[in-house]
Parts: sequence; structure tokens; C-alpha cells
Amino acid sequence: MALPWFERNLRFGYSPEMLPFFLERLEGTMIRLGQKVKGIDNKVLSSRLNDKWSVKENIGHLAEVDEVANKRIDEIISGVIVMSPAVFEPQDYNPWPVEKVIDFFKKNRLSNLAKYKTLSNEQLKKSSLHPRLKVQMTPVDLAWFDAEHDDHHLVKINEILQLTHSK
Amino acid sequence: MSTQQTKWFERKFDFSSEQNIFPSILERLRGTPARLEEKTNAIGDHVLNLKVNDSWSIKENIGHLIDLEPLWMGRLEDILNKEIYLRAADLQNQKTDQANHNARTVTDLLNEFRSLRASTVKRLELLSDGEIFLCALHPRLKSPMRMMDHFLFVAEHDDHHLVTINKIIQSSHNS
Repeated sequence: MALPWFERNLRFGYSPEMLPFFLERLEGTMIRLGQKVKGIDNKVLSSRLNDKWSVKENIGHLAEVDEVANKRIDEIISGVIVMSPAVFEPQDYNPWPVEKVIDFFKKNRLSNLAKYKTLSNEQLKKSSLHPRLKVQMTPVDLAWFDAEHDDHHLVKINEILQLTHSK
Repeated sequence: MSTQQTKWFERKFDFSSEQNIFPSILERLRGTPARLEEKTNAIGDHVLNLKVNDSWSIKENIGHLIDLEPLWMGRLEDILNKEIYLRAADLQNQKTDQANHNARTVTDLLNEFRSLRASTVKRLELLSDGEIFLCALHPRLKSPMRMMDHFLFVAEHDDHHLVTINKIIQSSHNS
């Protein structure tokens, strides 16, 4: 069972040399999501078990989080003191075909990856305050944070798929 | 991005988490076969066999992940058997150097890795919460490594080789 995201103790302070690994993880999420939903019935992907987010809503949430991350990268680089707040309840992605939800996520993810790759070493060392965690985060920390957040939702998706198989 | 990746033997690991983050680690391990397959899909044998600056080719990087899977599983048994030290790795990586992975097809290598990793994941899914926090000393790092830390180390090692494969692909585009 995944630990609730807001209860995770997270440590930051990653060096710029770690960024290639975090970008590789962020890139890999697109493939992992695609693999997870392959061949799964649309009804399963849209169902809300125990009133929790469906598989599509988990993916849509990741896409929405990426929009915030994109903004946060700009904020860090331009020296904003406190980064923009996170997003919570996703819009209703359940009527969407899963391919469309994944494409929305991919579009946002590819945009973030491209942005990270343009950053200089100096820019990678700049930081802003995370509004909830109250810690300074560099773009490298943000990339790690989002990679961990991806994994959290991949675990959630797995739990939903396992529960529906065992029913 | 001009940033160089940190070398594997220079990597520092944070094994301080007291929280059970094993489900996320397991999820990372599950994802590696698909990431490798996607990366090498539609790449010609010339690039798959390419040894940039005499370092391992893409096929040898995949082969190396195959070669190490029994070590990871052996260390799992060491922890469960309450050994003081985890078994040592071959730091010279002779197994990979001698295996001639370039002679195999990439599909064959990917299938073997997928099958080995599926067995690993299946075994890990059976671990209890208590077993996840059991530990032994890492022979090179000389620090206690819990089951959870050990498999975080494996997930990081996977990523290291995925990034190395990226660099080979980029080099082949530039050459």
C-alpha cells in the first residue's frame, strides 16, 4: 500500500550532476503508464473504487501537476520567492478515451523535459520556496520530487488494477 | 544541458528513510524492462553494438543488467539469512566483459532481462513489512543496507545504465 503522498518525508539538495537520472525517470513514466493501461477495459480505467480517483484521473492529475511544474521551473529561474501552489482534485477525465489522457500527459511531460534540458548549470543551482513543504527547491530537486510523485501514482494505478482483477 | 552525470562509484546514497517506500521502489523495478524496450526499439544493430571510447555498447549495458540480477537476488537471500555482509559484487565486471553480449540479438537480451526482472518482482511482492527493514552490511560501502535500501540501490543502478544508453544513442546521432 502506498504511503499517503502528503506524509512522505522528502529530502532535497541534489547536485546538478543528478539531473540526467531524474530526467530519465520523468521520461520513463510515459512508457510505464502506456504499458500499464495496455489492454485494460475502459470501464476499469474509468471506475472510482471506494470513491478514490480512477486510473484516468490519476494520469490526468500527473498531467495537471506537470503544468504547475512547468510554471515552477520558470519561477525558480526568475527568482520568485515562493513557487505556485500545487493542484489537487483533477477535472473529470473519465469520459475521455485513455489514449487522449495519456497524450495530454505526454504533451506536458515532453514540454517540461525540453525546458529542463535548456537550463544552464547556474540556473540549476537557483532555488525558490516550496509553498507546502517550506523548503528551498532547485530545478534538480523539483525534477526528483516529480519523479517520486509519478511513482506514487503508478503505485496507486497498480493498486486499482490489482483490486479490479481480484474482484 | 551541459551537465555531466555522476559516475556510479562516486554516487552517494541516502538510506535514511524510516518510512516504508518499498511499493514505489518495486514500481520502479517493474518499469525498467519497458523503458529499455522503448529506448532500443527501432535502433539498428550498428548503434546497438557501438562501443563509444571503448566502453560498453547498448547490448552490453543490457547484458550487464542481466548479469547482475542473480547478485541482487543473492543479496536478498543474504539479508533474509541474517548474514553480516552482503555478498560482494565483481567490481571488475568480468562477467559482462567476457559474455560477448554483442553476439546476441537485442530482442533476446531484452526478453531475458524481462523474464529475470519479472521473477525478481514476483519474489519481492512476497516480502513482509518486517523483512523490508531487515539489513546487512554492504561490502564496498561498509554501511548497513536494509532490504528496502538494497532495492533502491538496484533501481538507481537501472537508471544509471538507462542514462548511459541515452548517451550512446546521442553520440551515434552526433557522429
